[in-house]
Amino acid sequence: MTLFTIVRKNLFKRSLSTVLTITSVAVGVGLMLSVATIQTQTEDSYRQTSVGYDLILAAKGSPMQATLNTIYHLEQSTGLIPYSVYESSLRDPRVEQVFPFYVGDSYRGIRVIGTSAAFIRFGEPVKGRSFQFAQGGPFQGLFEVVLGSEAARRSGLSLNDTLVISHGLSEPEAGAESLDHDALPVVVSGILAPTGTAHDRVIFTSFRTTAALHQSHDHAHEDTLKHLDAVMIRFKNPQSALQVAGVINYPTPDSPFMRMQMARDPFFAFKTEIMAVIPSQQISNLLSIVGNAERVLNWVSRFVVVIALFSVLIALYNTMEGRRRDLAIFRTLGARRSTLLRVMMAESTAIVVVGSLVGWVGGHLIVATIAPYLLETAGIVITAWKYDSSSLSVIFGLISAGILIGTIPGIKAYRSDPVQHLASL
Amino acid sequence: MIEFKNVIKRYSQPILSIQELSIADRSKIGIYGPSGTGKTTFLHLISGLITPSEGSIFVNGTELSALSESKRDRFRAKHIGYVFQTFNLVEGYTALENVMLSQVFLYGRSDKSKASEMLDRVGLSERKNHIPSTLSVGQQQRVCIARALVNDPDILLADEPTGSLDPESSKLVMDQILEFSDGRTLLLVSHDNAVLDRFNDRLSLTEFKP
Repeated sequence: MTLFTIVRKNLFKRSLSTVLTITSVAVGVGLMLSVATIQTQTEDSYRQTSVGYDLILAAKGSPMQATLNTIYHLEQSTGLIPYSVYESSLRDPRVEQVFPFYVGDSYRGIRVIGTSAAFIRFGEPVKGRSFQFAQGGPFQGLFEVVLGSEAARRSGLSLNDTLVISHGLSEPEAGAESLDHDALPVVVSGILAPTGTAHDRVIFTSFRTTAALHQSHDHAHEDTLKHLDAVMIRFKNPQSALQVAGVINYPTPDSPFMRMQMARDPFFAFKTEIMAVIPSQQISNLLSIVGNAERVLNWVSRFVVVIALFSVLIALYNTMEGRRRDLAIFRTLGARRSTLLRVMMAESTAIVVVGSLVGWVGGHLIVATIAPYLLETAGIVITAWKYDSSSLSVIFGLISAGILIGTIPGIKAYRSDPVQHLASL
Repeated sequence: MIEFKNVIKRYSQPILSIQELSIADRSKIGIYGPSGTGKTTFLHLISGLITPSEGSIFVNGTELSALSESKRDRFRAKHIGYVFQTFNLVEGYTALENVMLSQVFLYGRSDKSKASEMLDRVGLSERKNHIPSTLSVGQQQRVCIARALVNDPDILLADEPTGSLDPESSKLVMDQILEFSDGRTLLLVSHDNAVLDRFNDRLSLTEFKP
């Protein structure tokens, strides 16, 4: 037997109180860590994915919707834009890369994005990082597709497997007719390595493939080689994005001279049909909206942790009356006041340490449970068991708080008079 | 040797006033006196649980009141064993663990074999892993004796050790206290003449009432 045994036995003697107090700490820690993890990784996910394009040209509508649709593969397209927008972009000397974007097909609920080989080759899903292949390579010709890592996992498809793409973005409801492009199955030419972005959960193919698929059957839709959903542009000089956005979005000036100047820009011709969206601005707006809700959650979870720490204090303090007898006996057996203080502090520390560890595991389990839902509904890739130094700081902070909290009942134990309590035995 | 020099202990009023008192090593003394004469206070002063309001107490040549409280705690753990009327065993701890508590507070850890041997000596070999509430009062007092002796103290203080016991248990407990106090100083407080009759030396605290 050691002092540690005494601490353990004291905690076991009041097992219900100990379990309830540990639970309250675990709930607080779990809530705080899960909110913090989701918050951090959501922001990272949104920030990372936004890199690589300076401008999105899409049909007039909500700029946020166009951003969510093209970058995060969420929401519906704002509409179709002329294919000539893509052709003009390719010819524009200010442009470094152009990525066409067509979305309207899916495979078992997984979106199929029609784009160009340039997107796979030059696109940057994460700042400074291009797409890497886990298996195979890019689509070379028609009827080949490249799977994002999560799309491969969800679909169970492997390299060189064939699949039949359906028209529409979601799986048809039970009993409804599925508009499959079943006459022309496509082949998996490659599977991408995980990027931690929304691109992981879609299937990429050439927009010419999507056009060919639609020409092969008779259900009503527009010819995709005459239209696209969006064009994403990377400029040689990012300032050009502002210039082009101004030409497209600002009203045509009344001044004939100014109008003539503006009309020289090749994008002026599409002014009435498209809008220009600067994704970085939309991402900032999005993070601001999401951030407000997260800030509230963050404060709530911190409040829960503070309440939990108070519950440790109250639980230990409330036991003091019942423990005076034991403490008096310990003193007659030669226990020093400082020993009693250490025992009390060790008890609160043990509660906070166990509660924090349970909360840490529970928090990550919460994240692991929510992660598939966030991926499905918001396109956010969350890794539950990712090492995060800030969560360790939280745990160490809490343990320090637990030690400090133990000093309050500890000082009460320290001051208790053994003779007085022996007399009342 | 235990020596009192000009000791006065007062709470709201004086309880004890001992000008001069010496107790030789290995003495066996029965202490008695009516209620309120400060018998328990007398034992607490010797154990260092309390200090005199005035004067000095020397135990084995050490002036207790000159020691810090922490050092007095250490001194008590090493040199003094305490047997109570109400046993004062810690609930939730087995008989063996109650005995080992004394070792933990002196050495920082227990010696299970020695604690176990002490319980064997007081006749509780079969009850070592029982918690106090499952033991008879006589058995509880024997655990208390084992706990008081496990650190091999020089002085054994017993405050009405038979006060809660039936005559049969009382005799057994007194036999054990006297047997195990061989080679130690024993100061035993009692109201029971049958108990006091077992002591050649007796001390009435009435004479120290201020």
